[in-house]
Amino acid sequence: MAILRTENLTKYYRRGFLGRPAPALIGLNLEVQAGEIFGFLGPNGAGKTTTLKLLLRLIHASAGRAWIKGQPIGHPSLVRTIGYMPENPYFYRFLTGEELLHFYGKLCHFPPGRRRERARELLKMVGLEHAAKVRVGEYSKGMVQRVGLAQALLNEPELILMDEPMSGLDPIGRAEMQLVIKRLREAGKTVFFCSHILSDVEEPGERIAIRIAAG
Amino acid sequence: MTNILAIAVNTFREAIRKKVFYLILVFTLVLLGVAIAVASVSLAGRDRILITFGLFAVNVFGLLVVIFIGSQLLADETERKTIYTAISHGVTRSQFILGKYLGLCLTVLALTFFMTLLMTAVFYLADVPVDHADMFKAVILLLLSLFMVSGVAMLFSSFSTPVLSAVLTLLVWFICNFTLDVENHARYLADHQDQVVMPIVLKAIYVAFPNFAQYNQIRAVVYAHEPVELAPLLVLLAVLYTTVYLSLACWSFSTKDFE
Repeated sequence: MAILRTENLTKYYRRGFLGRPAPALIGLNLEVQAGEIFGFLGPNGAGKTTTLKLLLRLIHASAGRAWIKGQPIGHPSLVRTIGYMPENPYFYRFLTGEELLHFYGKLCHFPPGRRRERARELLKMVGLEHAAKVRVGEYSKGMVQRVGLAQALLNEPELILMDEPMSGLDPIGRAEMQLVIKRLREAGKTVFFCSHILSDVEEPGERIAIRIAAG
Repeated sequence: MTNILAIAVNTFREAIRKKVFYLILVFTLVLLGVAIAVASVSLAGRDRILITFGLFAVNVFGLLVVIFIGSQLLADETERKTIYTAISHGVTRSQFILGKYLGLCLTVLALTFFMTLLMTAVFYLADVPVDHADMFKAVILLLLSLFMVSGVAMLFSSFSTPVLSAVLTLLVWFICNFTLDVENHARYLADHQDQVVMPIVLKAIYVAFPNFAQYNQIRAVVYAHEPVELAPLLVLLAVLYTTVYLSLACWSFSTKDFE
């Protein structure tokens, strides 16, 4: 069963004083099956991040449609279905790792007890238990990536969208992230992730879509 | 409502941790400096200067916070991409704007509260006779005007850069302080120079922006000729104007692409 489907998904940005249309993504058709790891590969400018932003409604589609679990994107029932980890995540630097997850827990409408429990579980899962009380501003790049993963998994989503999850990580960090993706698959999650590096997608990806350019 | 409150509290926490409240220290030092500087002036003159300056400083420091923090709130979130994860957790753009606005108002409220407290202490120590009830009402009116300016800052920052929205917000604050003059000028142009278009433009400006002269009761506190009125109409107008500015901000933000 397809958990994610797009049909002719297109995005033009308006550029310059006259609003000249600049294509970012043209006519994307793809299907992601429930429970699979789907790698979305392409060079910079191919429209990978644009696709994720369209699915999250961070930008508005110029044409085409997309569905998640059969519902059009943006449907309120989908809020608890999706987890998102942005590229080079940058979180509130003034919060500690624990406070950050509490904040997102509030957005997930978790009661205080559940927030505490999930924050503890996830910090342990991503290996940041020791840094729970440290401000995110003091985290290394790898630690920020891991807390980014923790917030994406907070509401136990069925579909996890990851934008360049291995970007900027050292070889050990990459291997760990690939392992995490595989574990998510084993836990029955669907993972849709973007990358511009073939080996990053090859290793954990069960199916791969390659996009050469925006158009 | 949970989402709005969560974002509001987070915005307030950010202000605290970014040490915005150090402004209170600056305020206290400035107020004490003025108190010492005017010590040699005649007693009545000194009291008037201190009360005027104290309330004026409360207004200006509040305005500084609104302009410098308010105009950056949304830009920071989009530049740092922190809004992405908030939206992915189901926060709507309107909830985000309202949360940020509430957080900004909470910051201004807390700052004003502490500044008023310190001002009262300085007046007590310097033996300045002031009607406290009138002074608090005047502070509440100033706060209402700051809440309206916060709405304006949110509106501008929903579609422009931080610098431009700071400049535009400041410009609106000036206009709001002179709306009566704008209206008088419109009437003069219509009655004495038979102009048609300009009076309509000026009238539109008069209606679009609140009249801050009504919210500035510093003179009434200083001279104590008549008690300061916290008129329900002023509260209603403040709510109305803020609702309009925030609605426009929500609409503008909902059409935005986070590239």
